[in-house]
Amino acid sequence: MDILSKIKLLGNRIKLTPIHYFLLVVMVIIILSFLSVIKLELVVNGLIMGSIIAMGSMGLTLVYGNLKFAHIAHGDFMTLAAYIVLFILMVPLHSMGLQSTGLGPFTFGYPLLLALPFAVLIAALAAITLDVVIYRRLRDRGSSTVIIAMCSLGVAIALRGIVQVIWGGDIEQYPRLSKLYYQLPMDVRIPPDAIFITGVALISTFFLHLFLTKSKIGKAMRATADNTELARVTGINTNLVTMWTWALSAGFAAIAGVLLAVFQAQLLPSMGWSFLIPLFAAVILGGIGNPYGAFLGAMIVGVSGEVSTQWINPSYKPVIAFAILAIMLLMRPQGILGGKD
Amino acid sequence: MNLLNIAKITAGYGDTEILHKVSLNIDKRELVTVVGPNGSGKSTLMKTILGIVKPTKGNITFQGESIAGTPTQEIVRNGISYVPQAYNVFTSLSIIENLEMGAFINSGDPSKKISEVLELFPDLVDKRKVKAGYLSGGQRQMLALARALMLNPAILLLDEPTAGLAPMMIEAVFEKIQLINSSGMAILLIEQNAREALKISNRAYVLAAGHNQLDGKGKDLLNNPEVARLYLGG
Repeated sequence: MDILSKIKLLGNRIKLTPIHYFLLVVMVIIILSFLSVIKLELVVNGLIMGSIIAMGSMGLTLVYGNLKFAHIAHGDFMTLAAYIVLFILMVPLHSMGLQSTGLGPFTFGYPLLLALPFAVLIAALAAITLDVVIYRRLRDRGSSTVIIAMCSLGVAIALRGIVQVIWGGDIEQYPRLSKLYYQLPMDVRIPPDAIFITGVALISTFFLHLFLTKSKIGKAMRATADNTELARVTGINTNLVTMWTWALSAGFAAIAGVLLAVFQAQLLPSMGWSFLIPLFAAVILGGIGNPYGAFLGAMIVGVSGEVSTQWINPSYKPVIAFAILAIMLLMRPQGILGGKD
Repeated sequence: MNLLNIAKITAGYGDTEILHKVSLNIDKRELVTVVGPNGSGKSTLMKTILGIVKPTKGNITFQGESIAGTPTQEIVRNGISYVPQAYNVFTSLSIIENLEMGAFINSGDPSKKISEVLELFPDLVDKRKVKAGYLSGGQRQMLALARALMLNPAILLLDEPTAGLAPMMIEAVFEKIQLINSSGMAILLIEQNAREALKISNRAYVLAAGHNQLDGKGKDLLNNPEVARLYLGG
């Protein structure tokens, strides 16, 4: 306990702004890659992975901000959305004759771009329905957030079960055209879909930022996350805010799920579930309830996970995420950008 | 007809009753203060008016209509604004955004109303883009008042607006309260600084242990030796 409190004290004494942290990290990466201690390629791959984690963790942190519980079913929303896209590609679009692959530099075809908005919409509607049917009832009954989180664990298992019942447990794949990796300077090779993944992530993040800072309901979401009691007595329609929170959270989870399926070139019923630890690590790293922090946290988790594979077995990547999570909770529990609680 | 009429309200948290048959009324344009020692149920009274705490007995009418058991949002929409004692601004939102949230239930552009309200609080004008978390205690209190005014309420409920402020700031807050009241808005005020509050109030109620103790004109209570001995520190 003594050592722990000392570490915590040290963490509190160092007063660095987020910009300091960012520059520090960039500097360390550049120096290390010039000294060939780490491969720059892994850093770049980490940023791609980070983009996917960011999509998932920003949604997760929004739900925490508003409803103050850890939504354990978040990863399985990713899975569900990825499979919904698979369904749309293989059934309606396929029967309409829309089945091209290899759009431009990418492995997938334009049908995926057609299917993605539908998956986002369906995931958003599913999340709102789930809230009305389950979570809201628990809240109205005054259940503690731990009970609601445990309930979401049940929802997670149920969602995965549904996916398994419909699609089976085998590995699936979107229709794709295999392409060579792109060769960049400094021995960096990136997969063909990398630009798409980071591009979608950056654009979605930018739209989320616009939504939260410019729209009335977005500001109300921030106000509710800041102080729910005050939001209520100010007259903010907190039910409407909750609905929007779910829609955004699930929509972002859907994007994350599809991007993950594209990046890994495979779909598995457990893909979202096993993604939960990096998601939570990113959320906590950035400060719980802070979407900008979650984005930054996601990049850090993504890069450190990929870079670690230079020395350790890639199957231990979640361990790195978990270690980051534990160290962060000890040293700076409020997160890099300082969220709530 | 009173603007707000509280008739023999009994309310509390769970099985703990805090208010016992408390009655209070306030007319249009009135400034009414509730004084009483800590734990006398002053804050609970306000939360009951707002529907945050549900009354088990008694009735509350606002502009002639019963509002007991109505959801908080509806009560706010009907024209009752509330400034809680603590945590009364959105610290991660800018001043402007705080004021916009104050007008959430109104559709349309709030910017005209914002500049109108900010005229009352010139100190906040230069800081309109600053996050409320960076403001001093007094400035926060002013912002909280401004936010509550955004809805043009018929009545303003203020829960200890001067708590924890420096003497100069306390004076400034009382000035604002008087200014707002003189514009025709009814104000129900809970105050620790009972002497100052009674001076500016039309009427006042003394609450003790969840019961009505005394009520009367502000100045009368100020001169009442018993009130002075018990609640004004001699």
